[in-house]
Parts: sequence; structure tokens; C-alpha cells
Amino acid sequence: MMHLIPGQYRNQKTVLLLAAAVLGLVMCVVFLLNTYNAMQVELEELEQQLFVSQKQLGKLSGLQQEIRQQKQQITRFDRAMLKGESQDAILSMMQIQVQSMLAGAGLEPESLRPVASRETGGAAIQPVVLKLRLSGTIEQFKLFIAAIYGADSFFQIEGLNIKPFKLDQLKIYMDLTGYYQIASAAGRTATGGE
Amino acid sequence: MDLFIGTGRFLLSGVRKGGYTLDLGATSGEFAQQFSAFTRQNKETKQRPVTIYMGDDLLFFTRITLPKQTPDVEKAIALQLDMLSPFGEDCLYAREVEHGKETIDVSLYLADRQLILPVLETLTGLGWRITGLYPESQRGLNKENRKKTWGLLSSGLFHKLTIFKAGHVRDRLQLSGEFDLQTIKKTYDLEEVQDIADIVSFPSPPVSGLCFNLLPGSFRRTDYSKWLLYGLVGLNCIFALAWLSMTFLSLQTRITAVETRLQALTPQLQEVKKLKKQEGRQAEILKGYASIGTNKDLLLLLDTLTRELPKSSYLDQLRLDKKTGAIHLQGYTTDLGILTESLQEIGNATLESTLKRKGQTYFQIEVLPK
Repeated sequence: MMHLIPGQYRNQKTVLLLAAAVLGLVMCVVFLLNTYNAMQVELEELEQQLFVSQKQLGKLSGLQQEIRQQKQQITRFDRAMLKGESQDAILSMMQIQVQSMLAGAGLEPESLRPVASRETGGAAIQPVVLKLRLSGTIEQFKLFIAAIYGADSFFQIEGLNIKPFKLDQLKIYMDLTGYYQIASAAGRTATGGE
Repeated sequence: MDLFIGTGRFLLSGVRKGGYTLDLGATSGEFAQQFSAFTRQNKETKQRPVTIYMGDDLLFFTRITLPKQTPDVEKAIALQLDMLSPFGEDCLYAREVEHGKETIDVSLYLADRQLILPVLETLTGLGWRITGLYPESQRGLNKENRKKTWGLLSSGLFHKLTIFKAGHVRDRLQLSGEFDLQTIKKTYDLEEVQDIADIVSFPSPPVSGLCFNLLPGSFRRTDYSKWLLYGLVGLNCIFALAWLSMTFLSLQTRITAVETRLQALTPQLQEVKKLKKQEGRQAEILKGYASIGTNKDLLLLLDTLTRELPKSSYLDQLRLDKKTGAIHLQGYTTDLGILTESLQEIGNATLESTLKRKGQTYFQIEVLPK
């Protein structure tokens, strides 16, 4: 039998070798466990990601439907906006439309005074106001209101003051607001926000 | 089964539980005859492994020292044997090599091949398997004395003292004259001295770490157990590695599969992301439109007022509040009670103030149109 290590050191050496072997084995097991756990965590994260992705894809058709409806609404609102190259042009066009509605209703326009408003920076929709002073019967006034409500462009009655005048006449003071889009915003909505 | 060979004796032990101590004859020829007869008589037909121990009388022991730098120790021992062997070149030998700091110490047991060969041939001829051929003193080693420095006294033609240190034979001495165990212990500075007659009893005492196997190579059987053990360990390692590989591979396959599915979904996910952005932008636009508000239903209000206000009431003014959206009515009536009743019909109307003057009640009403 051949011994490379002197007898008195053999036991110590054996213990050291055993300890090193056990330590090596433990390190190996720890390394493998860590790697396995890391891979397991990665898999769980990926599966979670997949679950979320599939859930999102499930909403795709609903989202497309929602966007279609939004586009339709935007188109309808866009049509109700006044259109023109400048605020002055828009005000002029609004006066023409209101004059036409007044004539149709038979109301007497005593004055139509456009009020220039400053464009609000950043806001997509800008208002223009027309101050009206009218006279006529209540029936004529109702016809005018009906015409405003039924107009292609949207006009909002913001201020109104009605007083009796003569026996069957009314004096009407009205703030009528129309809306237009600034050029860049109009461009965006016209293409559906793309 | 253990077989002891001493000077002019063959002893057999452990054939059956309880053991036998038999003198099987002084020569190998007698041994063969008597061994066969003995096994027949005792119906020992099942051939078991036999371990043979040779008495120290039949063995030559020596220690040689070689330089540390000896390139081929086996060759050096073989060269020394020619000079040392009392049995000539054709002898059996077993050695134990210890590498010291500066030298290599070799303990050697030598036996006469011609003496032992007929016994070995007889046993193998009868179909018995020989597991080893050891010096009898090796039976004295056990767990208790492995770490001690002790002596083993064997009797025969001459008394011989084998000195063990830490389980290894350090020396063998021939004793002469009168002596007792205590004297030997003191003289050779030993922890204890034992007589081989006390140790080598039947049935076999526990033996650990037998050394100096003198059995010739031609009688040795390959120790398959070692290779079997290596094979099993290797097989286990392979299975463990295969199992680990399969586990990791399975996990990696699942990860790859999920990644592939995610990659396949990526274009659709980007589409969803794009659509969500578009939806957000469009919602902002619609929010802007919604902030404009709606027109109050003035036609309905005028109709309701015309229908519900009593004949005795007269409206002086109808005013739409720009900020609150409320409609304020001012007028006068002769009968406030009827007017109050009719207010319920107008809807969300509240009487804000009244003032009585010149037989008329002047009123102010606030209406919140639908």
C-alpha cells in the first residue's frame, strides 16, 4: 500500500479533503438552486407578461370600435364648428348666418355687434361672440331660437335678456357664441387624430 | 473461511458456525487428502471464499530504505529482492511503501513459493476461491490498536515479535532466551504486547485493513466490486446530470416557448399601444368639445311659462345668467298664491323674492332649465 502523506497527517488531510468535497458539493447545489430559481422567476415573469399581453389583445376589437365611435363623434362636432381663414372671416360668416336666421324668423335686428376675442393659447376650440339687440314677437323669437338649435353650425346662447316692448313686442338682448378650431387643431381632427 | 498455515500444520476454521480447528496434516499431499475428506464428512459442498494466513515462522521480513529520488520504486524493490531473499529468486513477496521526507521506506514480507503453491493449487483444484494470502500477524490488527505502538508475540520454532505503529508493521524481531511480556514492553517502549494465541481465536476476530497480500497474481481474481462501485457511481452521476439537464432544459424550453409567443404577439401589442394613444388623443378632443356645454331648452321654458303662469301675472323681464345658466324671471301678480302653485308646474323653479306695492306683488323667480 502506498501512502503519500505521513501517518500523523493522514487523518487531518482526510478531514480537510472531506470538508473541501462537502463544501464544493454544497456550493454546486447552491449554484444550481440559484440558477434554477432565477430561471423559474424569469419564466413566471414571462408568463405574467404573456397573460397581460393576451388580456390587452382581447380588448383590441373593443378598442377599434371605441375609436370608430370617437371618430364619428369628432366628425359630427367638426361639422358644427365655424370655418374660415381668420377670426374676422369667421365672425363675418357668423353674422351672415345669424342675419339669415333672423330674416327667416322675422325678427328685427337693431344691432349685431361682433366681439373680438383673443385666441386662447393651446386650446383647440376658440369662441367668437356676437352681441344681438333684437325686437319682435314671442313667436318670432321662438322661430329664431328653433333656427339656432337647428343650424348646421353650433351657436350657444350664453346671455339673454327679454323685456316687453309695446303691447305684443319684445326687446331681446342676446350673447350668441359660435366656435371654430384653430388651423393646426382642425388639421389634426380632420384626419381623425392620426 | 480462514485457513492457517504454520510450521508443519494446517489449521482450518470457520467452515461452519462455531468453527473447527483441525490438524489437516503436515505435508501438502496429506493436506489435500484430508481437506477433501473433511469437506465431504461435513457436507461442505458449497465452495466459499478462503483467506489463508501464514505463520511468521514461514515468512521472511525485512525493511529497506530507498532514496527519495528513486525513479522506479518497484524496479528498485525487485533488484533488492535478489540480494535479500532467503528463498531465492522464485519467492512470493508483498510490500508496503511509506514515503518519508528524505527517504522511501519499504516493509517486505517474503515467502517460499514452493511451500505454498501446492496448497493453493489443491484449494483451487477443489473449486474453492482464495481471496488472499496474508501474514498471520495481520489478524492482530483491529480498530482498537490501529493508532497504538504495540507488539504482537508469535510462537513457533522461534519467538517473533512484530512491532506495529499506527497500523503499520515497523519491525519484526526474533526473541531468544527467557522473557516475559512486561520486559518486552519496557525494552521496546511499547504501549502493549499481545500474544497471537490470545488474538487469533475462533471464530474469526474482527480484522481491519489487511496488508501484505502474498497471493500470486495467477490466483487472484479481478476485484470487480471496485469497478462495479465505480460504475454505479458513474451511472448515478450520469443519471443525476441527465436529470439536472432535463430539468433545466425543460425550464429553458418553456421560457423559449413563452418568449416566442410574446415575440409573435409583439406587432399586435404595438398596434394596441398605438390605438390606445389614438383613443387618448381623441378622448382629449371630445373632452374639449364637451367643455363647450349645451344650449338650455328655451323653447320648452317659454312654452311652459306661457301655459302655466296665471292670467293675473305679468312678466317684466326674462334674463339668462351667463355664469350659472339659471333663468331669472321678474314680474308682478295680483295673486301670489296662484303663482306659487303654478311654479310647481314650471319645474325646478324657486321664488327668490317678493315685494308688495300698489296692490301688486312684485316677484323674482329663478328657474334652472332642464
